[in-house]
Amino acid sequence: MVKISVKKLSELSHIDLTEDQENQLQAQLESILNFVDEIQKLDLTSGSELTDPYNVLRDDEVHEFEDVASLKSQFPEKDGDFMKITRVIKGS
Amino acid sequence: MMENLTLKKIRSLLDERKISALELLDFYLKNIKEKNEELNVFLEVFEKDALEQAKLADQILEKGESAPLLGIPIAIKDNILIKGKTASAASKILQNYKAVYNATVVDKLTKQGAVFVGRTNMDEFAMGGSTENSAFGVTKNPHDTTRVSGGSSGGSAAAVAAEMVPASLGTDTGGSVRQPSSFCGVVGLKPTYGRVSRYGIIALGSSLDQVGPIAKTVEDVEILYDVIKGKDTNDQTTIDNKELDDTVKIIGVPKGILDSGVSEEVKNNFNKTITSLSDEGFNVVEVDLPHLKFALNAYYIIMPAEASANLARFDGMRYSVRAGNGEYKEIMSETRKLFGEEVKRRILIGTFVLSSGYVDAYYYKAVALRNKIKEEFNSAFENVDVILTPTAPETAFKIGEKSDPVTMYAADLFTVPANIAGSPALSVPSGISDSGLPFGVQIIAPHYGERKLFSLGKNIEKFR
Repeated sequence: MVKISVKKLSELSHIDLTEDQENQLQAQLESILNFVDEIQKLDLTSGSELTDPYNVLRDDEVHEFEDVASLKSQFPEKDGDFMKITRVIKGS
Repeated sequence: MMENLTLKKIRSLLDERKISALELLDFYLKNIKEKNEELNVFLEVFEKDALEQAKLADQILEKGESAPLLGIPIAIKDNILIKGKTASAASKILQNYKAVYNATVVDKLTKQGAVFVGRTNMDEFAMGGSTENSAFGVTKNPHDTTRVSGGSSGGSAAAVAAEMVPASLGTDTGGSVRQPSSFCGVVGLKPTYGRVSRYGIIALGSSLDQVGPIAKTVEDVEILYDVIKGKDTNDQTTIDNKELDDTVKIIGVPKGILDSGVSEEVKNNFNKTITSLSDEGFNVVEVDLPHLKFALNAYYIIMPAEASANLARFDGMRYSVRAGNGEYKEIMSETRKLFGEEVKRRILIGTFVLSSGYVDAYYYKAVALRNKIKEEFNSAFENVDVILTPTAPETAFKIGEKSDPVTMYAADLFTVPANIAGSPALSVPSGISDSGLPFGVQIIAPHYGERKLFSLGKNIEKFR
C-alpha cells in the first residue's frame, strides 16, 4: 500500500483543501497510486533510461509581439502599463 | 440537400455554386439552435463572426477562386486559441480569459478559408474521458442523451455527430480525440507526435499532446490533417514533413488485447471487423507487446507529472482571474480553488510522483517503461504495417456511471499506448450496437505513417 500525506502535497502545490476534501482525496489518491504502483514489479533495467534523442532549442532572439494592448487587457490587476503583482519578499 | 454532407461533397457544391457558404452556415446554425440546449456541445457560438466569414467566402467563390476549406464551418475545442475569443479550457480559472493570439492550427485553417462556428465543450483542461469534468456541464451523446459523448474532446465529436458542423478540431493526450469519436460514431485522428503544432494550445501533458481532426469520413479527416500539419518554429517538437507510404498488407493484433476489461459486444464487433479484413485479403497476425498492458500505469504517472508543472502557471498573477488578496501564497491558493476536482487530483498526483524521494520510483520508472513500450512497438512494426485494437473497451457509458477515478481511467486502456509511443492513431466507426450505440476500431501506425491509417481506415468504413 502506498501511503501519502495529502496535506503536504496540497501545501506544495498550493491547493487549499477542507478537511472533508482532504479525507476524500486521501482515499482517492491512494487508490490511484496503488493502481500505477503495479509498475514497481517490472524489471526495466535493459538500458531503458531517460533518453531524449536530442533537444531542440530555438535561437534566443527577440520577437516583437504585435498586440501588446490585448495582452495587457488580460492582466488581473494593472498599474499604468505594468501588471500589478503582490509582494513576494518580505521587508519594509 | 444539406443533410450528411462530407467536406469533399461540400467543396464541390460550393465550388460549383450549387449552394452558398451562407446557406451552408445557416443550415448548421439552425441545427445548433435546435440541439445545443439539450446536448451542451458549444460553450459559445460565434454567429456574427461566422456570418461575416461566410459572406467573405461567398465573395471569393463568386470570383471563381477556391481553397480546401473555403466557406466550410469548423468547430474548435475550447483549449485552442482564437485571437480575441474566450479560451477557457472549460475551467472557471480561465472563464474570462481572451486569447491574445491565434494558435498555429487556427492560422492554418484561416488561411484555407475556414469559417469558425464556435468553441466546444471538453473536460476541464482536457482531463477526462466524458466531459463530465467540464466546469460548464456535461456534453450529452447525440445517439443517446442519457450517455456521455466521451472526452475530453466530447463537444468536438458530438458537434460532428449531431450535424452542428461538418468537421472540428480536438486535442488528444491519451485518447481525447479518438475515444469521443468512437462514442459518437465519427472519425478521429491523433497524428504522430510532432506532426501538428501545439503553439496556442492550452497544455496538458507536453510530451503527449497532439491536435487532431474529427469528421464524418476518413477522407475528410485526411483533408483537415493536410491543412493543419507541418513544422512550426513556435513549437520546437514539430518535425519536417517526411512520411511513409500508404501500403497496408499485414495487420497486427496485440496478443491478449481482449483478455480483460472489454465488454462482450465490443469483443464481438472487433472480431467481426478482423474477419471482414481477412476476407478482403489482409493478412491479420498476432503481435507480442508484453508491456502494452502497463501503458496506462505509465500514463497516469507521466501525464499528471507534466500537468502539475504546466498548471503551475495558474497562480492568479496572469490570465485574467485573481482571487483573494494579501500575500502571493494566499492569492495563489484562493485562485486555485477555481480548479475542479479532477484537476486538483492530477496536480496532487503529479506533485507526489515528482517529489523528492519518490521521483525515481514513479516518474523515472514510468519513463523507463515508456521507452520499453516504444521499443516493443518499433519491433512490432518491423513485421506488421499497422496495429489494430478496439478504440474503447465499451460503448458510450451512462452519465454519472463512473464516479471512481480509477474506473474512469480504465476507459483510456486502448488509446493511451499511441500517445506513450508517439505513434499516429485513427478511430474509425465499425458498426452500431443492439442498443444503437456506435462502435469504433483504432488503427495505430509507426511514426509518420498517417497515410497507412487513412488507407486502411477507408477499407474499414466500407463495412459499416
